[in-house]
Amino acid sequence: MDQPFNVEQLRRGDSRAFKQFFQYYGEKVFAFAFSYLKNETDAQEIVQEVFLKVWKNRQNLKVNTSLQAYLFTITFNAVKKTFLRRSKEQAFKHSLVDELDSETDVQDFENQYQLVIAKLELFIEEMPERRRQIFIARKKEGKPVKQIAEEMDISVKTIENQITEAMKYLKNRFGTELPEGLNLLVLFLDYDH
Amino acid sequence: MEKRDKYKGAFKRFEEGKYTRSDFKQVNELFEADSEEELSEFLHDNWQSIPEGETKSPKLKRFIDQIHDGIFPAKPSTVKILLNYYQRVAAILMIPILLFAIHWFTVKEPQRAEAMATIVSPLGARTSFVLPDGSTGWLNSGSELTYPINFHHEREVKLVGEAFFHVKHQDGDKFHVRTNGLTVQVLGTQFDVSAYSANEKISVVLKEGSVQIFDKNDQAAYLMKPDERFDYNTQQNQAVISKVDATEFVLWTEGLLQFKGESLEDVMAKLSRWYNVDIEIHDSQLKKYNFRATFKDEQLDEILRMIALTTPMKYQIEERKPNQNGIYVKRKIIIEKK
Repeated sequence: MDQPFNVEQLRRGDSRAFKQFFQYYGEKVFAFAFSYLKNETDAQEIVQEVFLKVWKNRQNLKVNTSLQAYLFTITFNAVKKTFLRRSKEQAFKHSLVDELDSETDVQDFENQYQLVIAKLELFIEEMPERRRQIFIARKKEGKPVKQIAEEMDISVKTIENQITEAMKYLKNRFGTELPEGLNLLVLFLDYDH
Repeated sequence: MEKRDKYKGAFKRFEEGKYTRSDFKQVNELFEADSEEELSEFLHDNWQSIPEGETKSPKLKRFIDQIHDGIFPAKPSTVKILLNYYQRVAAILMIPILLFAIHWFTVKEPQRAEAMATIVSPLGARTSFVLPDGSTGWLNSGSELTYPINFHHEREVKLVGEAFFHVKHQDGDKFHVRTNGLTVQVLGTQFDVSAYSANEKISVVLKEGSVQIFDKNDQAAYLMKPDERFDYNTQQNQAVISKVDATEFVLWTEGLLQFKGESLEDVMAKLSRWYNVDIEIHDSQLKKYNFRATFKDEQLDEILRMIALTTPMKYQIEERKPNQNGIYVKRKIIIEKK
């Protein structure tokens, strides 16, 4: 394997050797992380976390194959951790799609799933402030209707109505329109990696 | 064996970014599984298929260089330089008035109960602050910064107005500045955020390090580099990125007021916050007049006189009289065409 860096120098903490090492593996670690996390920032954080770990553990580095294996192991662990954290945060969206899917047949929710989720996020954002708050408290945070009613000092009936309206709204939006307000998103998605 | 092939296909499509809902569910299932064996195998296949070699993306290259520079800093003693900087700032500034208001939000659910603290920098004052994690900064006049008392877990502050942040780096712990429209995410760096509620414009200027801008849908929008300015128009949902000298944008923390060809309307808006007065411009052409100057520790009257000398405006300071309730209101300044 033709490596443009010297493991001995890495072990000694040589600045140049680390620069070459980072440049040699940076894109690989980034591309790998991005393929699961689908988010530039998260993928960059993985790169940072992995490289800092290599730096801290530099004295235990070994040559060739085991270095690659070591890099894979720490990248794998970092990606898995972040994936699970994000997945937990996002779980309510996937349940929402399941719910919408069982109640409407205007949109194909199966294919282009990434787009489906992106649309869902936009549609939730579009809701009037109070409705969105109630909706998020119920669907994302999973709070009981009674508790939300107490916290917001409104009736249980109002909460139920707002949630029904919110679901109706989502069904409608998925049924009829293409997402708007994507300007900013599209503007910056041309990541040059 | 059949099941294994099914997973394999799902992983491949997911990794390539064109996947169905059932693909996603299968990938998720394996990530959540107790045994890592299969997951590790699929991921290793993908890992092997990605070539290593010279990083080509300029953006990623810069990011990687920043990590490198973080480990091997060019400047030998950053701490000392910063200390000097703050000593200087402290000497120049008038004594900041610090209003510290603590709101205890009594929430019924105990684990959700979150006490918030708000730092207010009143009109006419600049306030320095230190956050519980050791991050420091300055809050410009008429600005508010809110943060949870229990700050160490999720570092997140809410800003209305303008602030300069010097965020302390904490391993892997991000720091978020939320404004009404954008969120700025950092690891450890120095930057300025201006998001006054009356303005349609939110500006972020980065002095050091890197920050990630998120749009209002919490989508990553842009990764900023030092000496860049990110101007976001909340009305039009559009952003412009320009190259600037960041030190100019943090001059206010040293009590310096600088205008570099800004419109008289913007100049007056800044002056009215800075000196806590109401300023009215009674001429639409004047509002668009561009003005350049730098002031330091100057009286408002002196500044107005200087502006009047170099622009076609005249001004009139209305006498402060108590209103019908006997309360003295803000000074008011009327600006007209000469």
